[in-house]
Amino acid sequence: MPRNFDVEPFLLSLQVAGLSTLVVVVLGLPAAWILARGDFAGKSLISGLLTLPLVLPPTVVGYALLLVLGKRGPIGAWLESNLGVSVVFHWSGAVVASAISAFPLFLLPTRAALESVDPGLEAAARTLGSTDLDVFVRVTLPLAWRGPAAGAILGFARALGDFGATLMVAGDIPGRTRTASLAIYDAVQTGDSFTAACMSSLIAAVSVGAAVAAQRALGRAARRA
Amino acid sequence: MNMSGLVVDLRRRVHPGLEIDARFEVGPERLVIFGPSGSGKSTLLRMIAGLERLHDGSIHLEGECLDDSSKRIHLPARRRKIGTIFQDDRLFPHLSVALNIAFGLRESRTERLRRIGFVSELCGTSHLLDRFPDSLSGGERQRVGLARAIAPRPRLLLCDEPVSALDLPTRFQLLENLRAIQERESIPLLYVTHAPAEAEMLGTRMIEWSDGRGTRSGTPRELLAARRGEVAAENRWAGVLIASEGGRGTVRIRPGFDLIVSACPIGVGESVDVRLDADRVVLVAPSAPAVAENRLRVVVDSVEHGSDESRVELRFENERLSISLTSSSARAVLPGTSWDALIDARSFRVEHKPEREAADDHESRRTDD
Repeated sequence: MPRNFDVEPFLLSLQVAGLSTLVVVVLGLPAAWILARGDFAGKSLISGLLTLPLVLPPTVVGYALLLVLGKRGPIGAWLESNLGVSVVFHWSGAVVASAISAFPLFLLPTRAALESVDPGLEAAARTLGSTDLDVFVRVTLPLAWRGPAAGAILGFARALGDFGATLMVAGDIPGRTRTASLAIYDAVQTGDSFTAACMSSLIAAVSVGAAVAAQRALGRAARRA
Repeated sequence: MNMSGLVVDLRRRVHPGLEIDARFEVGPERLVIFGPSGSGKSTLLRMIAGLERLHDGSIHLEGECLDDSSKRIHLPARRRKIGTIFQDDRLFPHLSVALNIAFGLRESRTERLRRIGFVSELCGTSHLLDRFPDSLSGGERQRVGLARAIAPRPRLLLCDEPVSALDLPTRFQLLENLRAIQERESIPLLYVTHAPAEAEMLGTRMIEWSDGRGTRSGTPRELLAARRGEVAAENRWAGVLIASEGGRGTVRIRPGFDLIVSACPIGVGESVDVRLDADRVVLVAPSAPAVAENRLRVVVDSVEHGSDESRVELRFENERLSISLTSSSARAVLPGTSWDALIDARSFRVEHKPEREAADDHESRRTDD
């Protein structure tokens, strides 16, 4: 029995996960650096808030995002009136939702890796004329890169599989916001076990590959330290 | 103000038991700050390097203000042009020796290569350029650390016990390198250590440092000799050589207190001065079997614990004995306990006592009677 397998949701998932990983790395690297080396009041509170998505149910994260990003939410209203865009029920909403879910998975190993770099080496670099950014790019990151690498892979895998938060924020609009995880759910609901199996296999293959890669990166990081 | 060197006048509370109060200048010389560990020497260097802030006072280099608490000036480390060599070499493990040395260089590629070649020649690292730090020996690592520190032409070189982890021959070789480089480039060099041999070998001037401040300044030879003299002078007795036979002499300090000393070129009946260095005395439990010419039953008066050495004051009859033990062995020595002090005959330095002093001694003894 010939069937049509719609690969579109899987491609959308890759796109969403890729972009949210980018967002996570760009925002997470400075955040991890500040948490690793900074010394300021409220550090544990901020650190706790940033890891919250790891312990909250994804639907709760999604609901909170809806409140903030919705047309009547503080950020959503601003985006709507100033830029004329709405992330709710749009694939960019899926990017935001999965980025937030993936953030702690990047932050934790990255922060640990940055903390494991000897501050004495950074001090030595400063006596040799390096600025803080210079020190980070030339000393800290080259010594700690396996942490952020593992974090990015884990974050990507997490974003790829996000269901609850994405559903709450972006909805399940076929061809627009229906990602692979949503497609699997829909396929099972409609009794299309072929699509469910194919989509699940694809997602599982990518996730297993990511898990192995992350394990290798973290394993080497541990051996170095 | 000294325009060519470093002028330090600063105070900083490190912890409740230690306050640094430093006032000194360094010209184009090799100044050694000599003192026990934990006396704030490394913190002092970190403040000069700009890695830590001072609480009060100022630091000037070549007339430029690096720190001034009253004007709220604090030049960051990267803009000070001060080279630092650390006790733990702090080489960048992910960079080759050549890239480590080039780390602080901002010139063009050709100029950089020329500079790497030049400082490698000076520091003896030319054959190591392609290697990575984890494949180097301790001595090689410190050479690279030295090359890396001097490559950007620093205005001042700070050395924080850079050779203390090395074996003796390597240690002196590196100090010789350092001395030659300082003479050639005539950069002010500030070297902190707790090892007298390093101070004596490297320093053109030395500041004795304790509890966060300098106590004396002079040439290392002078100051170290004075230190040794002080210790010996604390164990000094006047007596008369009453017997001399077979390389052994007996000095009577007073009836009932004789010391067996090794042969001395002095006739029997002469007045002598007996000196004993504080580190030549060993303590054993009373009456424990031991071999030594001199065995004195002593009671511990006080113990002053240092980080490496501890000073122990002992009493026996009416005499006092001041000794120094390694701090690990001094831990077992408690005030009020009895021990036997063992002293080898060769440990005493016996000198003929000048006639006049000897006569004075006789005078006083007669009046005492």
